[in-house]
Amino acid sequence: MIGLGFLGKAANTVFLLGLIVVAAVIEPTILNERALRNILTSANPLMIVAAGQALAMLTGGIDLSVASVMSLANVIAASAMQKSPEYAALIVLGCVLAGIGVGALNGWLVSYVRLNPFIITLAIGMAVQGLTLEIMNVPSGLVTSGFRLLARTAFGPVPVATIVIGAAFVVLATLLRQTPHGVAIFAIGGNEASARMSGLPTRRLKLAVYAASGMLSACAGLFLASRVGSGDPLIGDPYSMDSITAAVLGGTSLIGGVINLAGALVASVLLALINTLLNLKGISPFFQWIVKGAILIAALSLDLLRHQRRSS
Amino acid sequence: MADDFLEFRDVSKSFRGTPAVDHVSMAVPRGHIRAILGENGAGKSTLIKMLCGVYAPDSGEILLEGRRVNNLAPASALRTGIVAIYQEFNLVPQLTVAQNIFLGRFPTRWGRIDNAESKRRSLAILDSLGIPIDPDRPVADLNVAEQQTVEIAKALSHDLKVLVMDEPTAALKDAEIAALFTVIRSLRARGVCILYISHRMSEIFALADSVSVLKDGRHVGTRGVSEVDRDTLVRMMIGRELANYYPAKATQVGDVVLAAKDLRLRNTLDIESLQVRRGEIVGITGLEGQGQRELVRALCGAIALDTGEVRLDGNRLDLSSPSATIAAGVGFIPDDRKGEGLALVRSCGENIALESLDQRRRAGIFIDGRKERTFIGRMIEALHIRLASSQQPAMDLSGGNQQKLVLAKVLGIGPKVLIMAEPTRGIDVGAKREIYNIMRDLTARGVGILMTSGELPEIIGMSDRVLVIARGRVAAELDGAAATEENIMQAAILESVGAPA
Repeated sequence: MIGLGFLGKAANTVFLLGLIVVAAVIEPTILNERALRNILTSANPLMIVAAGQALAMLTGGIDLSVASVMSLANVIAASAMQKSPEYAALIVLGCVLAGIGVGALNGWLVSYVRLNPFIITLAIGMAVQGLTLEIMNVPSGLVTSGFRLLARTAFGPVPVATIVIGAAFVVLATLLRQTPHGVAIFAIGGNEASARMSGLPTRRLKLAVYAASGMLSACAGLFLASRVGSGDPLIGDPYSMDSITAAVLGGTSLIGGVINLAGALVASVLLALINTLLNLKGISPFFQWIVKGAILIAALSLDLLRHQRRSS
Repeated sequence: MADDFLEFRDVSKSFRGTPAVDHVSMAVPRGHIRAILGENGAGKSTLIKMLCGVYAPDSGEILLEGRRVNNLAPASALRTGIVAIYQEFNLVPQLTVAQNIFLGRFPTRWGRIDNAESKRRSLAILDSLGIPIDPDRPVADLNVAEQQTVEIAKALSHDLKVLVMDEPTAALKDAEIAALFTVIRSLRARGVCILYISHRMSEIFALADSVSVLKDGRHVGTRGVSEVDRDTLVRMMIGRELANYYPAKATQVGDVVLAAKDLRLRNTLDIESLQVRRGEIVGITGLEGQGQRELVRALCGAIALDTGEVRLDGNRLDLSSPSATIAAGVGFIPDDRKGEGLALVRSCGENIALESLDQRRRAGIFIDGRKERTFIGRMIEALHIRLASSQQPAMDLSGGNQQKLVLAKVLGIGPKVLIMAEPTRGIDVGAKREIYNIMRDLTARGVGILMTSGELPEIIGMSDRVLVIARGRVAAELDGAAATEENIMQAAILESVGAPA
């Protein structure tokens, strides 16, 4: 990034943090405790899916089913908890397993059947969306009051969930960088043929990555159920695109072999912040779509620029 | 041989009924460098791939130290100590040197990668090769020679018994080749059996202990290098004498067709003037990476220059894009046939027609199918392209025939000037000869040719005039009799002394 080359890999993240500071200077009202808490809370689900998306992109793939999986988990949680609130914990577990299941199916089709991840995750996403609407076709359902605390507990301006997510990111990053399987996932994204020839279980690892993305999507859907208190079959909708934006903006490359989890986290906050600012200024939600599209295009161009500079 | 360390016993492999390797038997002892020579399509790579577990032989067996090693999966071939280094490196650019070396077998401690240990072991291996590379550097930052060293280090980190190298020097500079040879010889001293595939005869004579020649999937013979000379090997490869390897040179050349002035590009190029005449072949050579590649790419509009003026037939040539130079009549044969020359998955016919589609339009928009087919047929015939059908995908063809496809494609525009970068790189002797003849046919018809090549015999054999490039400048212009290997090397080296590599 401009003039920040000395920071190396962290430059991108520092740049995004800088943007957040700029936003705070322009609009100081976002600095009060409540506003900060709201921004972080709305960034939480994006952080979670962006991590899954970044993992899929690290292998050189993509996961366009994250939105539907979020909605599915959200809808199952709200409708099941309304019927049998006493089994809340089991229901949460079930939702997470459903996410892993859909993700594993994606992963199996991508790595064993060798179908194109873009099309396959889009198709599976569509099927899952259909299933979700079959379960619940208008927003309804109710989650248990204990479950609602998940999204509502905070230390001052910082939601507990954000702290948990932050810790999970650190664990994930450690697993990726410091375990043989983690480094193998980098290798798959960098040069899959070479990873296979080095005797790595490339197909199993790719399956695992998509399963993880499915699991994280389900967690994000559960978080939204906790925050809203009821279910909505289309609640995940914007997250497929948003998660790609957050990942790419954070420094993960669509080309594969590169991931930046800290960047994805900060980018998620930045996107939530931009959203809040636009709302504060009373800008129409449709215009906000245009802004989101523009941000994604800018992020992708940036990714391309970074890549070109490396190869030149 | 007494020590049959590695043995191929009557090995055969066919693809869709066509034998690629046909009852090959040969043995290689421990601590020996065996060159494998053959035209493209002679079966070299199929033989190697069976050894490395990529293909299973249809019949016969491969033995290493008396044990069968055919039918291994690639990963277990690695564990057995059989390692192949291909032209395209199998490294992960985003990982560090140490990570690449130990990919798949990291030393761990409590489930975490023991970075200190893998770094220490990487350093030990790299040191033993006499080439210090920081194990923490990402592979993306290494040059080609360093990447190759990492490949070798990776091979050594296994219990290396057989090392296969496929054209390892294709992208190396002379000093790097010398360093590579030192490494290969030290591997031989350690008892490794090395199979060395190369088209470059001089390397085979400099390095190998013996050479096996394959032709049409059969093992023609194995000789000690001291027992054979270049001509014998060529005869074995193509099964006939090569009377005159290079066609006769131009007897008379015409007016200047391409004139370039003040070509400058940052630290890469600084050429005051350069001319190509009708009917003339101008050869550009020098040490690797002195600006030759940039020069030809700039002339065809693929990269932008800082300054420079080029005139074609006296008219200023627009260098802003390849489509502009092509429209003006400059044909370009890129050095990367597979990457830039052809759409490999598309048919041969489509590839041939692609560049000159505009010339066969009907009613301004539609492609005239009949003209198209006639044109494709004429090109295939004129260049003697050997294919089963023009509908066949280009990737099915041998390197030489693919190169002819590129030529056909470019000749379709009826170029006044043809710029050829490494026109015969990686293709076999027979096909080279055919390309040379096509080049001379073109000059006889008044086309001017500018070619770059790193192979001195080719430059000397083909060029009417040789420009030696060093550090982006024309270090010497040599014509006819003055263009000897000695003169060229002298100009290339003297001028580039002190040049950053």
